[in-house]
Amino acid sequence: MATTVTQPVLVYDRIAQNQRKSIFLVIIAILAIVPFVGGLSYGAAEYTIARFGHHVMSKAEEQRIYQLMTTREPGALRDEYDSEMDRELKQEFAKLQQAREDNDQLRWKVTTVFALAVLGVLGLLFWSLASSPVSSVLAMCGARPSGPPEAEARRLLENLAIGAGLPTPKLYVIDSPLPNAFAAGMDPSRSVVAVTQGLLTLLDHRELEGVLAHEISHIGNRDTRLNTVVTSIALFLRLPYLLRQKYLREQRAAGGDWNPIPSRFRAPYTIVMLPIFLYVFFVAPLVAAVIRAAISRSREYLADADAALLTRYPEGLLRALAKVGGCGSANSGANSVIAHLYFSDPARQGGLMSLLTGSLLATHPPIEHRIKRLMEFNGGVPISLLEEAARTGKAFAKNHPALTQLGMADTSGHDELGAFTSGSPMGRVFRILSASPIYDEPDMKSRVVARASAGDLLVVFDDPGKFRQVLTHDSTFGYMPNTIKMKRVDMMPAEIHDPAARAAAAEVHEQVQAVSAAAASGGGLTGTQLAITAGFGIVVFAGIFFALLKFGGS
Amino acid sequence: MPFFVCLLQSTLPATMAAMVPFVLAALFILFSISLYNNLVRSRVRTREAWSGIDVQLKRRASLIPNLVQTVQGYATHEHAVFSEVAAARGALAKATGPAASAAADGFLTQALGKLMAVAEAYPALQAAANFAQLQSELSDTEEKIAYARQFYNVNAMNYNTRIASFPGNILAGMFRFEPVTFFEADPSVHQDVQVSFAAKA
Repeated sequence: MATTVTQPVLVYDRIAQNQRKSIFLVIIAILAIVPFVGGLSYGAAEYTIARFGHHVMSKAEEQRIYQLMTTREPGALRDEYDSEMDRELKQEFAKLQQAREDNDQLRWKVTTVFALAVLGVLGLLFWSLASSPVSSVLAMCGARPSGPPEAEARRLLENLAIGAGLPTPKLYVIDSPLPNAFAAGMDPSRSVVAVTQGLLTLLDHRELEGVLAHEISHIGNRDTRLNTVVTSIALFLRLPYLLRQKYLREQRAAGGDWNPIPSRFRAPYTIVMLPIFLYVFFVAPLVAAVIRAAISRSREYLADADAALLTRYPEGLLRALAKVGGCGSANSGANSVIAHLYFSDPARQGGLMSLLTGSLLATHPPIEHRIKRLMEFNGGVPISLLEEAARTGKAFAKNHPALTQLGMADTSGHDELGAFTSGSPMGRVFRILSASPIYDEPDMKSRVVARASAGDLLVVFDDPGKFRQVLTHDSTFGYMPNTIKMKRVDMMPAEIHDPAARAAAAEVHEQVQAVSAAAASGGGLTGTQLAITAGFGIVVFAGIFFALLKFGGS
Repeated sequence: MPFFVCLLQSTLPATMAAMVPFVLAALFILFSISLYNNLVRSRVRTREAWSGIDVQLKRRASLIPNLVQTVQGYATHEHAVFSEVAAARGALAKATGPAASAAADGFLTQALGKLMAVAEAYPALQAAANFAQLQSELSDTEEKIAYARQFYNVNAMNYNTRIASFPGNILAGMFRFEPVTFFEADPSVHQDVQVSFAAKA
């Protein structure tokens, strides 16, 4: 590892610099939405006018005709008839003028309404990403709650949380030999840190402390929240592309003609629309992805610097990075949806694509760069020590071959939309609200294998039909009618077998019950969710109202 | 419509000119309020961080009687060390404020170091499971104190910087925001404590 140590940099300066950079990038990301939303809305407005508005000719044309018809030869004779016609002409043109003004007004209104609706979609995307529970991320990568063997790691995490002034996050363990870690959770009080078994085995005490400090810093910097904002922007700009892909897939699967444009119009249509297609399907998503990756990288540097400040021992994190880098934790089977969460990038692509886009689209900076920046805080670390650590990592990787089906397998479907639409094959935890028998078969007449009483926790698997497949906490499997009311619980499927976790969930349930009884507001929605829903409702209502106002009369 | 526009045009500049001082005053008041609230928040955070250290110091002090008892079971004749540890613990319990507590804590660390040095002379004690557990708990608490101290010092630094720099210093002067001391053992204070202990023993 050829790492040259430049002038030592104060860790405070580095932190300030990284924060400035993130703010700058977030502003750019927000600016990137403006032409997208504006263009879409303006297009929609033009379409509406062409379809429903008054037919008007261009202003220049109108002027020309008006000039032509109202100019007379000088000294020409004017009679009664002439002046009558003049008046009528002027009235006609006044009407035309009015029509143009109407159109302009309509254009503004439609643009505004459409832009608000599109922004509402962005809000809904953010909402659904933000309210997706942490447990789904954990279930996605097969994490389990940490047990007695991880007491040392939990102790380190607790101490670091004291140092950062944060509530101690829960520790989860992923049974994967690849050394990696991530932090998740929208706010510090509900955050979790997950580490792989490989990381716990590979790293010693001080190195593990460095990695955990890095993850704690992510929690302290509210990086999950920032990531969710940026991810929803990126997803929003990719939405036309994803929807189009989905449409094409479905049409092809159905065997139908996938293109709605009649074949003789296709070539001119494509040529006319090419710049728009290029922008909507290619430039906007690419820009969003590049900005998102840049923000993610800058937050990684920031978390590294914060970790160095928190432990006052950059060497631990340095050695950990060298080991993980030597081990080469980049594996192909990783889940791209949660790649940005990890300690080191698990989703590095191979081949030519990575040469082209690797450095621009990587969510993590190369480990060598991170090491170099950390060395700036603490130049006293001998290179030989890092080389030794990298060798240890390499040896570890040789002894522990990565099993791609273990741990980080991709269970989320083939694109980002899958995360919203597909069910979880691992099941989700629900609280049953009224007592019900559990049947042996999806049939009311079959044998009853167990009885669930109100308040019991069940793992429910997605099963279209009149019955749900359920698993009780004592591992009884059976079927339950779809009509039984249930409530989603933010828990991992594996956790319902653990009495302590069940008790904790019951406690949360009681609190929620008490709160909602006091507030007496229905729906089980939080204030923010209600606000977003109400806002969206108002936007849609306003749209319909304007449309009725405009087109109902004419 | 034209009438309304005329009205606006005629009165707008005059109204605006009349409103400028009010708007400026309102902005100034809002700014001052937010500045004051920031100072208060910073001070509360510092106090909260201090209570974090206090909790850990108490936890450490509560471990000591057990530890001393265990060591006494094996090493019965080391009275000087035991009384030194007891005195240090008493001093820590009495100490108030970051500087005094830090000094007392440093003093206790020294006394415990002596106790551990004594314990090393007794292999049977070293082998006792109880002793090993107490030792690991003690070292964990010491680590927690170190982290809590770091969190406190960062907060104290932020707070002190805020009340010393413009424009926070004006409000800090008006409302008596006092700078806080860092939690660190001042060598001179440390010496004093040791001398006073020597006199007592």
